[in-house]
Amino acid sequence: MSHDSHKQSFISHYIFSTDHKMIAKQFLLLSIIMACLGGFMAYLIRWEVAFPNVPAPFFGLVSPDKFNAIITLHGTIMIFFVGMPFLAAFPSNFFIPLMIGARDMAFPKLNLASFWLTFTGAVLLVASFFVPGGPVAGGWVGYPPLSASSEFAGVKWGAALWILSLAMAFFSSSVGGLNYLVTVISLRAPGMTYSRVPMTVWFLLGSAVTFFFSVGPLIAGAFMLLMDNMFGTGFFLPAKGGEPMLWEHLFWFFGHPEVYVLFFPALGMGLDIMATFTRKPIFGYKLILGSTVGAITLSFIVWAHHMFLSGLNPVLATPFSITTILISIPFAIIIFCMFASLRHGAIRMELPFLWMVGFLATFLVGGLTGIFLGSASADIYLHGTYFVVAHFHYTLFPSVFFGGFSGVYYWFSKMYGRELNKKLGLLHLVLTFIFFNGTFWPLFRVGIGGMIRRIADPSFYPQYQQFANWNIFCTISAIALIASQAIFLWNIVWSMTHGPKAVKNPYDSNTLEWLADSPPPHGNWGAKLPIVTGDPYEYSKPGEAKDWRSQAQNL
Amino acid sequence: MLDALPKAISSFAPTIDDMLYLIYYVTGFFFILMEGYLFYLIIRYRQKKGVAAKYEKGDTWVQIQWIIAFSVIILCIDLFLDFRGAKTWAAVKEEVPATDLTIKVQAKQFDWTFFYPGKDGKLGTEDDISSYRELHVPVNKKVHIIMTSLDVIHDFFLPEVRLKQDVMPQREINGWFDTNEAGTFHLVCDEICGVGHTRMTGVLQVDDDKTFEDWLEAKDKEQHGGVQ
Repeated sequence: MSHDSHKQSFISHYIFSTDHKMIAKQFLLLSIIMACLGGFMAYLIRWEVAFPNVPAPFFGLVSPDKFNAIITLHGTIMIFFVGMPFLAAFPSNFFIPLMIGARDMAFPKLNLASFWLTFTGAVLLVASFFVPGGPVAGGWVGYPPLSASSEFAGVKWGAALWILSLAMAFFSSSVGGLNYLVTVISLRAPGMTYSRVPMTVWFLLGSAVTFFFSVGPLIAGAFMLLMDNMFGTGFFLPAKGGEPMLWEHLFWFFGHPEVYVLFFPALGMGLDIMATFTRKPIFGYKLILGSTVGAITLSFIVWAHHMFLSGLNPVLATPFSITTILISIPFAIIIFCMFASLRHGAIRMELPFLWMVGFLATFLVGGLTGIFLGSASADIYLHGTYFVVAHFHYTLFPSVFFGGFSGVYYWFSKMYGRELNKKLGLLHLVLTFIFFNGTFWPLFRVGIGGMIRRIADPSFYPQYQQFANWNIFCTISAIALIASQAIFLWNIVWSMTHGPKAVKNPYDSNTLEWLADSPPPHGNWGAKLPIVTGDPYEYSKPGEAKDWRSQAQNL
Repeated sequence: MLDALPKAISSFAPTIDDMLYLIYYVTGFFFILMEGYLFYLIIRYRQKKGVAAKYEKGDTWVQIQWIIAFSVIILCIDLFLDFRGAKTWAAVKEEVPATDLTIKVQAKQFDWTFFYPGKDGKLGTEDDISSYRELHVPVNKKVHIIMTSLDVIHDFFLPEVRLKQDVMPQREINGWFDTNEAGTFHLVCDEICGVGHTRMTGVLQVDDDKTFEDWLEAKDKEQHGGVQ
């Protein structure tokens, strides 16, 4: 009997837990496992591009059908099963309740469902490798007719599983986002007014809201695509009176905001980290939030910049160019505010801060190169080349990995009650920074040279031979980049059990999560809730003895 | 960086390249400025004994005025790039000028076929002359192209011409280009279109008028026996 109930509690504690912190850790673990899979695929892609028709070690020959499937699933996995869980679900679950002074999410069971939906989606996606016809192979954007009928790609069940897997991910992120939103609205601790909510929470909400409003049309689109594949309808098949461009509109109406869904959490965490380590209030708290609202709004009217050359009425290109390039204004304001936050600071060069700087320094490249692609006339040449690949990896990799890691290094001690090894963390940062740039910087040049993406065998193109050495260089960098992540895995696994015990508030930080035990107990706060009496970023206030003042004084 | 650009052989190619250079210099300037300033701030304001951080929240107009000023400058640069680019875009994509020759571009998994009007001067008739994977055009002539696909989405990309256009199934998309240099150039499919996508290439053969006419006549003979 007692043995039985013990087993039960293991399952309810580690598997079907409703504790927001355990669910966050489940999301973290899932994203790490999926990142290993996505990373292995990245290696196979790079291998084939650098060494065409040479069997890849640990895999074999990456033939064109496999290449097409691998690029498709690499994109899908990295966006929906690494980016979303690692950057949106994990920090939202762990830090929203802690940072607003709640004991858990508003709907703990919905939260549990949200994790298992993502998990099911990941399983369905992996299962698609093993069905007749193989997995989808039309690129992660899934343009029909190629993706809508087995007639063109020979893929039927793979397409169905891919769509269902995405449906699970959408469902998970939607109920998750709903939960975060309701939690912030209804469960803030006494005194936690909206103007005292930390940036991490605001940006996680911004991310969730952006997701909500953009995903709806795509859910309808995915349903139509599933019908086309499984039941012979023709929503996207011109031969049956359908319209493939409809899918492009629905996909990119979601696809562009999705980049911000992944960028905002990194930005929010970055701002909190910045305040803590500069010992300065965030410069322009309200200006940053206002700009973010502007950026979210604009992100819904830029989607056609992915479709300049799709056969869209060319007259529409210039309006969409204008909205696209205008989005640089809110982001420039945010960056300027960050610069102003650094200025006159007393910067403590600690690891999370350096990761955050790595995020800013690399994301800036992604932002600036977006101006090339947002300009319709320049896009005529650059569209579909490796320039695009370099550009979006310079936006997504900094967000997901530099931004995500800055959060993990910042809050690890809060999550596990032990400290990470800082020297290994620094080594991880330096190697990731070098090899990330080594992998993607040369691809700008390769793309300007006209080399197109998604070709399985570059040796078929004599004009790309001039880039062969660059491609080998990028591939070696990519392998080193992937290998460098082993340092991180070792560091977290070892530190979880052997790291030095962490104190409650190692960085003298103001926000509420640092008042909880490390790790926080079930219910987070013991007998009484924190009563919030101040702003989150009251650092270095003149006339005070310490250079920080916690948001709540009663714990 | 931009020296990697392939040769430019159309009248609008230099205007697209100018746009690339313009954006390159503008973004390059901001790249150096912002990365440099970021680096400077971090080194300059690292924690020193006895020096406290400045308590400023950036919540007054006076404090944020320089941010607003910089943003206005960026807005002006943005609009300049937009309107500069819009002219180039319109010339390449919106306005199909009067042309000397009309060619139908037909894409399917995984090859290109080009149709030239035969003796009757019209496309879509029995005497059309077809060419497999080889797009021949006369130099210094404006060519009108009508692009269509028989199955999935493809993309017609002539890198040296700086022309790119998705080719949609069962839809005809109009485009144009010209060339100012004879020679053999590249044609690739720039939209993943299935397992044979990699091999969906072709050539753009630019010849002087005489060579082009001879080639067309020879093709005509081959396909229609040269019968009038």
